[in-house]
Amino acid sequence: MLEINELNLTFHPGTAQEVKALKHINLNIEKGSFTLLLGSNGSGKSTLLNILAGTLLPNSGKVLLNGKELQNEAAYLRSPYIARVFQNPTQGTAPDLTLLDNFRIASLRTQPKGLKIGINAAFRKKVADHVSILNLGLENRLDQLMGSFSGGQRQALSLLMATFDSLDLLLLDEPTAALDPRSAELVLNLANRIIKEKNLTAIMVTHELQHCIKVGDRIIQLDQGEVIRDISATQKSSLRLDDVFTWFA
Amino acid sequence: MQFYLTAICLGLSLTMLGWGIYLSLKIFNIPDITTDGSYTLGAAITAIQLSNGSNWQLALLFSFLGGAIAGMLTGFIHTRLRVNALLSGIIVMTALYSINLMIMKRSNIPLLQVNHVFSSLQLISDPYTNQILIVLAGTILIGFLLFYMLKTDFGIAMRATGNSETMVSAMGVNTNRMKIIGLGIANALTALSGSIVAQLQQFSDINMGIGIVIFGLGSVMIGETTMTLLKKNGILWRIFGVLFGCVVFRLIIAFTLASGADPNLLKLITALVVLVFVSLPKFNRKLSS
Repeated sequence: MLEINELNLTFHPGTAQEVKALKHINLNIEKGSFTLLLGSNGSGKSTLLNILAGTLLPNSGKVLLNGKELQNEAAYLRSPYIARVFQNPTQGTAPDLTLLDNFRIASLRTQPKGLKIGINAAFRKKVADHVSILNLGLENRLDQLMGSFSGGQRQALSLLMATFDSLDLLLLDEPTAALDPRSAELVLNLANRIIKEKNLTAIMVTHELQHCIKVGDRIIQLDQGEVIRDISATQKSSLRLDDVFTWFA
Repeated sequence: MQFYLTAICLGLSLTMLGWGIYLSLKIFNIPDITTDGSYTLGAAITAIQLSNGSNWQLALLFSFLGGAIAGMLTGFIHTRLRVNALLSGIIVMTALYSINLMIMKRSNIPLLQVNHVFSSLQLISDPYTNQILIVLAGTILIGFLLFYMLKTDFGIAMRATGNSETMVSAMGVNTNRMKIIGLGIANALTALSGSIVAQLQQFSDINMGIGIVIFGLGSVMIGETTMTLLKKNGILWRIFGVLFGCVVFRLIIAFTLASGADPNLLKLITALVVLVFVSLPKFNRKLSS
């Protein structure tokens, strides 16, 4: 479903700061799988995610989603198939817009945003039902500005926003890194639940080793721009946290 | 009394310019100072149209379109050529000075002998009340159109573009195109103000736009500060706030002149008023914390 062929990206080529961020990456991601991209800082995991999202373009190689070449398409053109959750909730939501306005944009990720008023009673009801699964009482605060919610609430909302409209691929860029432990737990469980319930194809960048035990079907470890470990679902089921620690030794 | 009514009328006429600045500065978070040029552009197009015997409807339409092109040019330079927003505005504003001279062919065109909106539309016999009524009706109409636009799905995407660009582009919005359209609308509104003021004052002058951007900025700040103090956060209130700001600012200027201040100090007073309203919210926050 997602094919990555011979992907290469070098930052500042030909200068003293030259960094080969990605070297000959080849990956095949199956439909309905939840893949974790693991790696230390500078391993290239975020670079890879940004190439999939379209915020970075590769020097060479191909990205094929359901057979369609994406590698040279701008980020906004990929929105009909790809949804994102950002590391920082401030990137994934618009703070000065109401919760309802944010969800209105999210509901139109795969469609053009036209000159008609789309927020009506039916839409309010739809958003209220959708956010009520969080059990945070947010369904009564639809007209509140997004910026007035806590980081954890905003990240949970941005996850719901990303999956509000139809999608083929969900990209999560360290979605819990900016949160306190309790909120991180809530967001991780929510992500796992949505991915399983909707049978989504998801790729999550993380450097939290516990995530490898708690969630996901497959683990891909990157180091210095190369895939150095690829753990399948069967191998993963017998994985212990101590094993994961040794990968970084 | 007449003096203050004239000030209110001028404030209302400049409200569209205020909304233009509100769009670029508050909605898109872009400091756009094409304003000085596009305001005069509206006046220049109107002057040449009316003195060539065209009607006021066409003069308004062409002013609007001229301003839109100027704004889109600034947006293009900023987004596609990746020039700093402030510099893009300065470049277009500077170029417009010559363009405006080319349009007018001289530095001043009087509009005393021509048919303009205020002489063509007679809602009431008293000319001053007539002026205010026409300007008020036009401003309210534009205000509601602006409000409607910002409430639509397109408008939400606009507001989100200035607020969280990463989010909105992940949601499928071409933010560069959005900024070009937004600056186009902002400067179209500004040019509309230029057109109305030229018809109101019955002349168009190449220098009439100098420093007008600071009036617009100040009015937006007065409006924002007042609405924040009144805890009115809705878009309609913010739009009304700009109108309020424009009228109050003109009244402050009128009052200062009436109190016998040296007219040469006008720009200094303008700058000080803007400074007060820009710093007031921060000062207020400091006091309450």
